[in-house]
Amino acid sequence: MALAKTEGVILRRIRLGETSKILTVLTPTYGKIKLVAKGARKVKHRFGSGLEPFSLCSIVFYHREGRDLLMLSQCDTRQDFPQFPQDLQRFAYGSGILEVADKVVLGNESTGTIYGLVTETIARMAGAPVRDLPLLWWAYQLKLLEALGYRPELGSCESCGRKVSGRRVYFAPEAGGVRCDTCRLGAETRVSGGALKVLEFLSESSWDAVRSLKVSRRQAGEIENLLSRFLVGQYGDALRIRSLGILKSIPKRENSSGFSNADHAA
Amino acid sequence: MAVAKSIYGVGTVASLVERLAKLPGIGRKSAQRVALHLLRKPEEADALSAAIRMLREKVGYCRICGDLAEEDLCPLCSNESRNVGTICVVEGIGDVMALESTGAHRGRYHVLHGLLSPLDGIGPGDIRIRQLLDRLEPEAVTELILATPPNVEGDATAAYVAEQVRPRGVKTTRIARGLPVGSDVESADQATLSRALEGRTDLK
Repeated sequence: MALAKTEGVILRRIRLGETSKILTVLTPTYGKIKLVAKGARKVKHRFGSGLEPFSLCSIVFYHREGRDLLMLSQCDTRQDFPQFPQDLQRFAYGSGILEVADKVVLGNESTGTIYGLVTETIARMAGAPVRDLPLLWWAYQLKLLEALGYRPELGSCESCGRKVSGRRVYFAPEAGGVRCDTCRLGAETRVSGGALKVLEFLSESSWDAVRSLKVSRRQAGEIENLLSRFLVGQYGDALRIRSLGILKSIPKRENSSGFSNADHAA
Repeated sequence: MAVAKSIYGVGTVASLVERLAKLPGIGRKSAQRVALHLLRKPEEADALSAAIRMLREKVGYCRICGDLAEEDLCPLCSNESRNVGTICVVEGIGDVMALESTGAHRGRYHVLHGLLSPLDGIGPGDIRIRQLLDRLEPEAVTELILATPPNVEGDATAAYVAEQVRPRGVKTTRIARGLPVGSDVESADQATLSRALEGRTDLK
């Protein structure tokens, strides 16, 4: 059993017995690993405050091939993000970032690109105004899907390859993108041109450009629905994201989402 | 292939050992010791079984604060000498026990029975926040002490409760965080030290 050192972002932690925790950590070199932090729930413990979701840490652990649970030896916080718990909307969107990463990374495959994407999104979300959170959330999902090789086909019919435009465009999540009026089989839902443009813009643009986008409330609902159906269509029911469900029970603050009521915002 | 160890003994004893071993902090060996002890001391076995039955039949939750109660109200809510203007908000029943053991809080409590946790799908409607807000006016509450744990879920819950309470003009305070009593400054981690500095107090 060798000591290994890496950095990582804490995706999740659960209680283990009376005094310990099991951490799910996304690392650039070892993929997703599960670490036992013995005694981490005692008042005095040696791991510091870095064992919380969203924390970026330097970790030292006992590495052994083929083991599901590894033992944490040391943990130093490199960066924590106290902004997430201060606002429930930010907390829900940030949790969504961690939840998706936890579900799409299955084991100890190399995850350098995904790790970079997760840490970048967390840092951007921590400092973003609340109205930009949905834009960053959608951009993250699209960039993550691209990194995993599941980028949705948005500009051309996934079946015949012809360019799609106008009012008769349909979305087939299991098939991997949009279909034209000729190729549709019947069960697909119609997609508005505005929502398609927003999705294409989000998947191709830089992070800074994403924040300049204006989206109507109706398009926002459509995009959220399309992306969540796409994740489930490609990965199955395991990719039903729970974190954002709690947003429905938060009393609405005026203009908190920043969406306009105009349908033509995009 | 690993073979599960079977428990030696007659079925009833084995079944009791199996059940005891499922309790927190009790391993298989301790469970076996407890089972044999109960066999040797039948009067203790009867008293324990009666106490467990009473627990199931009589103990519920206080209508006001959500703490354990044998009547409609818990002993703390029915005690008129407690300060009704101050409510200490906690995650669970164990927290009430810990805070009461200090004797430092003379007000009342409110048990949320959980914390906001988007990853687990727990939102404001799943814990007792509505019941807390409903208490503020009838009880003429002047201060809420938010004593949820100092982790992301505890901080998020405290921030959300404070935001909901703010328009009602009730003072909200957060329990202090920082170095544990008896620890060293040099061995504390960055986040704990910086929060201890932020929360420093005047020496009077």
